[in-house]
This record gives sequence, C-alpha cells and structure tokens, in this order.
Amino acid sequence: MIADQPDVLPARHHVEFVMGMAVSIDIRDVDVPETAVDDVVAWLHHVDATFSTYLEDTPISALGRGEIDLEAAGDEIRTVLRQCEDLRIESSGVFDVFEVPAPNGTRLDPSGFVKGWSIEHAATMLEQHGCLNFCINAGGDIAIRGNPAPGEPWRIGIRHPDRADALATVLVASHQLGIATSATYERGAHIVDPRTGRPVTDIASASVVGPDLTLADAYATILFVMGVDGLDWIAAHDGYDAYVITHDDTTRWTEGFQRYREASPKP
Amino acid sequence: MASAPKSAAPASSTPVQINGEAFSNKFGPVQVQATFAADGSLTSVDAVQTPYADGKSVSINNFAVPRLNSEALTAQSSQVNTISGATYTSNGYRQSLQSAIDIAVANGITTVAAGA
Repeated sequence: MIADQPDVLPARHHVEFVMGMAVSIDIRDVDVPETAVDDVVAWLHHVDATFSTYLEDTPISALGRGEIDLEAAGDEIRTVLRQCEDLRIESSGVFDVFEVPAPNGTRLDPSGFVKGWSIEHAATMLEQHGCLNFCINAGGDIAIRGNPAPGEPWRIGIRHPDRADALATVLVASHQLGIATSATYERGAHIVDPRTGRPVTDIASASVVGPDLTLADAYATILFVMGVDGLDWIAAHDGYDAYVITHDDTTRWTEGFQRYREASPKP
Repeated sequence: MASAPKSAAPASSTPVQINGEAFSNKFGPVQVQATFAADGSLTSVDAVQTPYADGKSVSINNFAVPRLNSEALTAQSSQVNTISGATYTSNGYRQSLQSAIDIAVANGITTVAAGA
C-alpha cells in the first residue's frame, strides 16, 4: 500500500510452554533482534517463578502462607497487588484476588491479573527491542501491535464457547490492542463470584478489548461475573469495549465494539 | 506433508533440542525444532527455517465456522491470525485452533482461514 514500507516477513515465531499454558509469539518485523524473544521467554519464566500459586516455593505462595510480609515480597509483587486492590475497589469487590481459593491452599491468588499484566509487559519489551508488528497470544489472551503485513489489519477470531474448532466472530484491528476472553469451557466453572463464593455461570463467554491487555484481562473477568449488565460498566471505561455470548447463543456488545467488526466503515 | 519433530523425548538430564527434517512446502523450505526439558516434557516449538510468504493463506478445512445468529461469517471474514478464548492448558492448546495457526505460521503461512 505504501511504496517505501518494507516487506514484512514472518520473521520470528515461537511457542513457549510456561505458566501452565502455551504462549505464542508471532513477530512480523523484518529485523528482529536475536535477543528479543529470548528476553521475553526469560521474563515469562521469571513471572512464573515469582507468581505461580501452583508452586510452593514462589514468593507469592510464601506471602499467601504468611511466611513473608509485603516488604520482603519485593517491588513486583507489591506493584501487582496494589493494582489488584485498585481493581477490587473499582469493581465493588467483583474482582478480588485476596479472598479466593488458591491451588497452594492459601486465599491469595493474583494469577487472573498476572497473566494479562505479564503479557502486556512482554509486548513493551518487544517494543523496546524495536519490534513494531507482532502478536503475543497467551492462552487466548492477546496483545497486538502494528500489522501482520503492510496495509493489513490483524484478524482476531473469538472462539465459539461450545465448539473448540469454531469461531463466534472475528475482530479486525491494527496498532496497539489487548483482547481477553473469560469463559469456563476450558477449565470448568473456575470463575468464582467473590461476593457469594459461588462459581459464575450466567454467560458463556465474555471478551474485552482495549489498549492495555492488563486491564482488558481483568475487565473480562469482571464482566463474566457481572453478566450482561456488566457491558455498561465496561463501556464507562474510555477505550474499552466488550462482546458477550450468552448460553442461548445470543450475542451482545458495547456500542464501541462495532469499530472492530469487519463491516464497519474504515475511519 | 510436514515432517513433525520426533515425539518421543530422549532420556537426558539437560534440555534437548530436536530438529524436524527439513522439507519444502509450496512457499519454500521449512524446518521445525522442538525443545524438551530434562523430564521429557515439551517446552517449546520453533520454526528454525521458514520460507518467505507474502500474505499467503491456507484453508484448514476441518474447522467449521458457525452460523451464530445473523452473524454468518463469510469465508473471507473468517481469515484469522490468532484466536482469543478462555485460558487453555498446555494440553488444551494442542487441540486448539491457535495451535493450528502456530503450525501454519511456522510453515510460512501468515493468515489462516478457519472454515471453508
């Protein structure tokens, strides 16, 4: 489309199994520094070693058991928990990492925040390495930058909740975007409403898009708990939009979500 | 047509990398490398050699596009680069559309059509 824009090659593609999931890193820039993917992979393993609630010997597990205090837990954990507390207050307790049954037997589990946060940070790391066009998909939560090829938008399928091999819809986007989907079809009824302590099963799938995957991921969890009424809560956040699939296979979305639909006119 | 990396990991005390056999698809030469941890678990998969592919796409015909309400996705609109969904486990990933896309991208195919 633009004459002096260089061809974009599928320059570096890597799938790392970490944090109990697969993280797909798809960089489309021509020149990708050798260390870019290595640094991101090292970061993800560092996050796992710090925040995993499946492992007994992580700082977050020690903090949850009360063996260390926040001071000893370090800056990263303090920063994460501070943001989690902000989200808890803002969501009137719907998002609460401080009172959940964790795999390590404690009640502290910020995993639902850490995934989006760590991938957003990984995207920033790639940008610092000079990467402009890439997609990181961490177990279904996605951070994109730029374009997959010159003049082409990224095309992001949202999985159908009842069929693993089918799509419910396709989003079209360029430049910086986070996309997160919250649902129970992969891991059973694992999303608990902290206000009732009971698993939430009102809607089949909740997807949130916005500039920062950290927030999109947390908002998707909040929306899943709030149900269809949560669409208004999402819409009140500038730059964030949502798409919900209910159990009777109907779909609802925020007004701004339309901009990501194929049929919407180009700006 | 893809020669997959050997599935059995060798017994070893250190991580092991195994290169799949190099082969050519219609875009050029392809080689995939799998890395196994000391305990034999698969830790990563990479394309160590990929051909140039200029926005070429491939259809994975086994994946059907649903007709959800009035949202009849056309074949064109079902071209995707990536899939958002509920967090899957490492095992769930192996059966996911995303893994099919990763295999396609590692083979130099930049856009995947989910559905015919």
